[in-house]
Amino acid sequence: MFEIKRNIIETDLPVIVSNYKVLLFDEMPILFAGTNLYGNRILASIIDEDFTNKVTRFLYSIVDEKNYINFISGKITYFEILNIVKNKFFVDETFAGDIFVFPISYDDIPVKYLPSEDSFCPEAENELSLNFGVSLKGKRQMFIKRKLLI
Amino acid sequence: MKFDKTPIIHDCNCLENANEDSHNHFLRRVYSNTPNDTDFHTYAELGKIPKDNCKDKCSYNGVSINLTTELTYQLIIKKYKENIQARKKINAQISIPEYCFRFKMRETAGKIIQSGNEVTHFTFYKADDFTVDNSIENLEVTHLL
Repeated sequence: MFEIKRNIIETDLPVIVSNYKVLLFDEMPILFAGTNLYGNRILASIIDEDFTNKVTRFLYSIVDEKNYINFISGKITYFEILNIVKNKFFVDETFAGDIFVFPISYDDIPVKYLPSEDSFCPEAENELSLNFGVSLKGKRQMFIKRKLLI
Repeated sequence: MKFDKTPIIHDCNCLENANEDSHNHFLRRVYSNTPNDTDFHTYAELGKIPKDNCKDKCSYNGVSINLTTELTYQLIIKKYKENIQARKKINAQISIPEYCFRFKMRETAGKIIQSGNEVTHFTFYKADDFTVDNSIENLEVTHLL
């Protein structure tokens, strides 16, 4: 687990208390969302698990509604979200349930832990593929239908 | 078959309605193409501490497995592969099992009970003398990358 060069603060800003929703699950919640006590939208992902020190590290971002909707609908990526949002935190949760919060900036995230530039919301990608046949409109729809018929 | 190594299983009555199953095929994500006992460690064995309720305590002292059939196997493999690709876009660093182990349990392996939202998801409670070598029949290991 990498070292965080920031001080721990006491805050409940990055604590999801409602509307918890897992956006990507692969053996564990990888990407998830929710709202905090103050109604702010939160987007979060797992960073790493350290079984020696018994701690799991997460990256929490407080996202405004517009950016959240743009992400959920597949218009912007998680990579872009991390660039846009100002309030980001590393949250270390021990296996015993203790929580330590570190406010961070984009530059505090080691490059290898950044999402890829095509990190669209997996749920949006699934919906786009499922709805592909009925979501095309106008000239493009006619063009693709013609191509499919050829 | 004994479950005395983990008293919580008895204290929380986790085995109520749990059954042996040596007929069906099950899946578990594992770290290599030669699954071993560490691939069947529970959260509790990994040092994670559950919240103070029996639902979590039972869950942390069992192992997640998925029931599969010949019909659903390829669909599940496809879904696992999609999840891994999506996960790597969000976080390419975190270590997650990238093999899928298909197996049958011998009669003394332990007991299973359906759990979670998916009907194919089961919690497997290992018997005290469980080992992969002695308790599991290896059917297939698929690399998901």
